[in-house]
Amino acid sequence: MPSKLDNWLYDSITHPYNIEVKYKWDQSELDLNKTLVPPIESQVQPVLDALRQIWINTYIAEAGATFFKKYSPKLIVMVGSPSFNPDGSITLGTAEGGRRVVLYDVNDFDNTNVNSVQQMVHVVEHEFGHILNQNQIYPPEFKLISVGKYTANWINESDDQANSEGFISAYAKSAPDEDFVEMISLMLSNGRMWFEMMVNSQSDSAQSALRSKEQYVVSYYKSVWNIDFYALQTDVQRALTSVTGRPTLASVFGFGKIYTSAVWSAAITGSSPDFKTIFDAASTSLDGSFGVTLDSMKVTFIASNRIRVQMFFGGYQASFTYSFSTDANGVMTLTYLTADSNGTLIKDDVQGLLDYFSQYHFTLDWGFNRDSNANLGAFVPQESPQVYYVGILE
Amino acid sequence: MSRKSQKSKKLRTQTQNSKLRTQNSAQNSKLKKMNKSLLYIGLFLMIAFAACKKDDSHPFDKSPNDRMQELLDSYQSTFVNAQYGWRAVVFPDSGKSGGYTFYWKFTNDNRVTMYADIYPSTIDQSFESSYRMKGLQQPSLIFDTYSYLHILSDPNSNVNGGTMGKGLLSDFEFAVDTVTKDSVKLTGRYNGSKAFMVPATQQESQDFAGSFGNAMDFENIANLTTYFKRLVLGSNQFDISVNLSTRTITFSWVEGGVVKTFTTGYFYANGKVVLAQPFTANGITITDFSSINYDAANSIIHITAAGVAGQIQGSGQPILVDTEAPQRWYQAVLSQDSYWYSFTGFTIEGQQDAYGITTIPNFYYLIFWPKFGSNYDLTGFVVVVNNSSLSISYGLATATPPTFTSDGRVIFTELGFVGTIPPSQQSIYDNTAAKFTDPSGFYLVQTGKQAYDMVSAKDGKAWISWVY
Repeated sequence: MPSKLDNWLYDSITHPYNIEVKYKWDQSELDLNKTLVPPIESQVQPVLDALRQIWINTYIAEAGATFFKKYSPKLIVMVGSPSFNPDGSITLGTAEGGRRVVLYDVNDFDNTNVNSVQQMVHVVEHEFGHILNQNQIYPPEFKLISVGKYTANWINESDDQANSEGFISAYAKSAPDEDFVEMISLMLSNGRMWFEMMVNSQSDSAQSALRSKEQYVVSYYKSVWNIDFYALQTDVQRALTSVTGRPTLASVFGFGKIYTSAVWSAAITGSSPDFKTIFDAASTSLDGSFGVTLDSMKVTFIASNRIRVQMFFGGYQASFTYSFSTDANGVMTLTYLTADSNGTLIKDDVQGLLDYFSQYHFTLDWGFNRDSNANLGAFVPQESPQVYYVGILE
Repeated sequence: MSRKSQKSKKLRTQTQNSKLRTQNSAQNSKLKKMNKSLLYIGLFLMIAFAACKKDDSHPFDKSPNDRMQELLDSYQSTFVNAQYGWRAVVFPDSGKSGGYTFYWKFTNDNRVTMYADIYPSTIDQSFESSYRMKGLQQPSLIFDTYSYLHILSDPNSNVNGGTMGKGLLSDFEFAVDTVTKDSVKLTGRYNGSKAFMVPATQQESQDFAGSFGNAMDFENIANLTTYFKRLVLGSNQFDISVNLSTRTITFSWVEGGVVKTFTTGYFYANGKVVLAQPFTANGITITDFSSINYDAANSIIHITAAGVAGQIQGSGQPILVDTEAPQRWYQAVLSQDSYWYSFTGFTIEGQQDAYGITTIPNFYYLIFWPKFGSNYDLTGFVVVVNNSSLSISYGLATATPPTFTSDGRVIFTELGFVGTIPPSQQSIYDNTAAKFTDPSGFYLVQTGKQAYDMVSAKDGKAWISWVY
């Protein structure tokens, strides 16, 4: 007799997406050498509901239902515990022959915890990435980017260390296939700002490896599957926000909100090198004119339709005021209005920075920085996301 | 003593990562083959019977599958029909562990409601999950979604005190061995756990927690602050060591001048701690502890056993000191130019890592290295450097060799420290060093081939578990 849960699974997963879900224990689906336990029934629907919104619906939005039904795994087996390996690692997901995905650690899933949901999304996107690769292999040149650095000893490395060697995670070091799908899955589950700030914290050589891998992934999605990877990434992040109820930056950053300012300085690791180029040019010009260099900047919401941009240099400061509007998608457009007296004085020298704010359309997004507990907020240009302004929220 | 199994190794989990596995097809084909051979046996029997009883109709007028299904149905109806459900005791790990007691109420639509004497919450609050009957070579009862029963099997040892990756080696898939309406015997299909079911009474079905009386007051043994625990029964004395996770108890006693030990599982029943195997020594036989009463003020557990009112109390010394143990312990690593290690340092009055050595950044373990220097033994604080290598950051130097007393103690004499101790870690070092060089010294208790517990001879309230 089908339970309420069984009915939900049929109506919400199996029927619409052609995916059978097995949550009741069946040892024949699993490794006999591992100690595993079945899921808690009440965990099954939250996991699958999250995956439906974050993984299934986003692929369907970008690539269509036919694509998804064709390549989706035909069977998802759910396991309550992680799978413990002799080397001390734990396995959270497996995919076999593009047909079957095993999801472990279902009992620890918490859909109000961003890390927990990201972990589950990471696993599924990882395994789905393998399935896509098993149908259409990625360009072999990808394997040359980090050739000679792949190792079975990835377990002994931290993610930070792997990042510094041009890998998105320690596990990505295990093999090129894993590297490729770790790029896919972590860029999707953790989002673009996370990736940008992680990459921008690395050495030049690591940055170039990560950028190159990013390009392979983006062009593989475009040329093989006709999917705009960045659009998919945005969709995934939006769905993740909706499922977990994590606050959007826009909901806490603005006039009359928890945070009203974002302070940028070159000391923020992971900030945008492209933005810094603009900043440095203004600083050099200012140095030429007045013998002082720019120290930092602060962007503040001073009214429901006004933003103040402050620049600090040698103990002085200058303020510039913009009006702004926000459209239904949260995209902000800034228009330059006025400068204070110091602002008027240095305006010509810092014109590049002033233009930066009026020339792009911005969305707000959380910044990520492993070295700091401070909350970071970013203005991300729609036209050029890599030229983001990121600051410590105040 | 309630020492849970020590971390066998400090391992970093890579929780962010998933692993691709290729299908283990051998496993599937093996199962298919087994099913097939079952079918052959069925056919063979039919032929044999047909040959012998020519004029009879077929003895089995149904297929093996149908007959298996009939058996499963009949078992299920026995399970469902027990008016007040079942009381079951599960002994994990081929029955080597003690028992956990469950209440199971089965319904015909494959639901089971249960209680269990695992945690206070599991004994008080019911939990509903799924079960099914299936023919897997034998008629089998499978608890197929997570329930209190699965807590024992969970590979995450944090939930059950077992081994990481294995749990308590329990089962939730059982072969049904025998079924009557008064009793059922089950055997776990993977870890050989033994389970025995008897129909529950109305009283038990309404108040499962109450059905234990005060039996679980026995778990206050974890609150006794000494390493050694002494069971005193009139003129008889035994050291006892209890593992509350595996529910096993080890008795040690002296017979003819030597220490003998006996280990058995136990389980909780109405007002009693029942030994899975009775313990006989010194002319008495203990089958259970009853009249259990914890006197917190005096740290004594009053019990009655073998018809005698007695008590379990803390003890500063073992029932018989293993006088050779300190030298064996010392020589074992000295002869290998190796060292003993401990992940958690001193346990004091039952509190693991009482001095907080594991709070030291990147701490790996505490080591004791005889003859580290030409004229000193080293108790070193080892940390992980650059995520990859181990380094002794500082340590306590003591005289080499230490003093071995004729009454079986080892005493360490402080010479000074080596390395640089960060100010924030000074108190951790000082506390550890002071305890280590306590002039009363330590007893050594061999707990395994390469495992010793080093217990303060001053009062038995501080100890370190060494392994190598």
